[in-house]
Amino acid sequence: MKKITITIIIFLFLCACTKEEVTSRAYPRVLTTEVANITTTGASFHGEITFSSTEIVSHGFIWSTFSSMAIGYGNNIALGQKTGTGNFETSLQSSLVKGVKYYVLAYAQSSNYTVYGNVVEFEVPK
Amino acid sequence: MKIIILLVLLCVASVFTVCAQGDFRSGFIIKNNNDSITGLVRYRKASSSYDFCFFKETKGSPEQKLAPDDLKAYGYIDDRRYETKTLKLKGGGKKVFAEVLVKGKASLYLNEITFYFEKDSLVELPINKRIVVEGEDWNYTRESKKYVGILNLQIADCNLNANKVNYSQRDLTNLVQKYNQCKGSKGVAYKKNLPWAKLYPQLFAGFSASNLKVDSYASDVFKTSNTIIEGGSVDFSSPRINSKFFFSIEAWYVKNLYQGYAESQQSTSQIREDLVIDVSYLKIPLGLRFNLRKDDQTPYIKFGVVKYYELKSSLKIIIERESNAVVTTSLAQQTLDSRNLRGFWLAVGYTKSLSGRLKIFSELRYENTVGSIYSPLIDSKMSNTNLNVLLGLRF
Repeated sequence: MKKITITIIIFLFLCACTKEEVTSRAYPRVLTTEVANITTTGASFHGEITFSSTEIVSHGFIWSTFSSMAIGYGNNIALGQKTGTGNFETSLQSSLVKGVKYYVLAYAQSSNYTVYGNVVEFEVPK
Repeated sequence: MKIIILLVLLCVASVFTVCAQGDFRSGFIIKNNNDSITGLVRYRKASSSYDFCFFKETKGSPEQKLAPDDLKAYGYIDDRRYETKTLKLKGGGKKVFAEVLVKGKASLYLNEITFYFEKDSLVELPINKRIVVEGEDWNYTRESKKYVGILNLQIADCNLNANKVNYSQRDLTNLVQKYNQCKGSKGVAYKKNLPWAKLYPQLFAGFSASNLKVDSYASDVFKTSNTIIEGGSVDFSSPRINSKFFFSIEAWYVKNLYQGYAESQQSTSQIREDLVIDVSYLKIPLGLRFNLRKDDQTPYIKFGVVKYYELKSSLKIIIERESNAVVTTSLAQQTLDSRNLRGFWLAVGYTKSLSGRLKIFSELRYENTVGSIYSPLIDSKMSNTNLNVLLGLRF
């Protein structure tokens, strides 16, 4: 009886260990997570592939002073192929102007889709 | 949802099946020939105990239904005692089982809501009545305290008066006890060992399956949120009045993660939304508990109302627009404000004594709440149904 009670309690607690789940798609899912180490000589961009069911043929970041960006419309930092999900990052080494707002987004491409992550705004401190 | 309701109804039905077997407690009967027999007496609420006594000599014996004509008295060990008395009730004199509150040189009885004083003979103490006194252009109401006058006459041989005695069990019992002391009689107050108020602190933890419905989204958008809950409560009872009813106040800490998914079509775009609501609450359920048997080991039912107080909450919405094999993502993270979240709950449970005052209990509880949520992206009414399984200790 004691064992059954303990088993039930453990089962209930395991059921309740809720963490955020990522729903599946036919395309890879990508988020731009943060921009760090912002200076006049560059910054580090962080992104995450949260879901992937197909091979990612290319991924990376696009950054610009305009919030509307796409491959070919903005500065592209391509990081090549990637398998599976997970975080990725790169360091931008370029002169940035103090007080100017910049925008960056992470992207991922599969053979059928191009997926752009959310746009993150950052500003070089004066 | 239907499964949850069916499950709760099934539990309620099981509890009532157990209840139908009756709550027999150690007691005794005194027959008209003065034979005293100990056994088991069905425990019934005070108001149902005046007309009949249900008695079994042993657990397996057949139940006997005994009327006031059949007995001189019956009672429970360390609890209530009833004596057969002929009272002037509506329609003339009638034999009933009157509850003995004090037995001595002077005795005090209770039948339903009327008290009776007995010294040389049995005298009714009339219930308070409000009387309107009318003049030509004025009127006022006053209370008719006939019982005070009657008692003052009865206890005049001691230096006592009933002028400040309320028409309550406690005040009248104390007065009659004082009178008995004055007359050198060792009166017995049958329920003196039962406290007027008793507190039972409880600690519990459990599992909660919560379903959220936000009116601005389809009903099946959010998945069930399974979470651990923990909390504490205090049950109040007055064993002297009724040992089966409890008033309960609880405090729960609840943290829920609700995840939803919605899809829509906009001209050439397919829109997909992932919604994540992360919320923690302090919830305060207030309710009544009714034990079906003696508190040591009993099924119980509980019901009441609940109010939620939001401690922290956030909303995250990831929107993906797919058009011509290109997907753009936008992310919004905002604080969420839950407003006026309140509802009702119904529970069935079982409690069992471990040692001394320590008891363990398990409970299945259904809860339904409504309210509204607000953020810059969502401003909508919402409803929430929870099924909780609790395991706790009662001190």
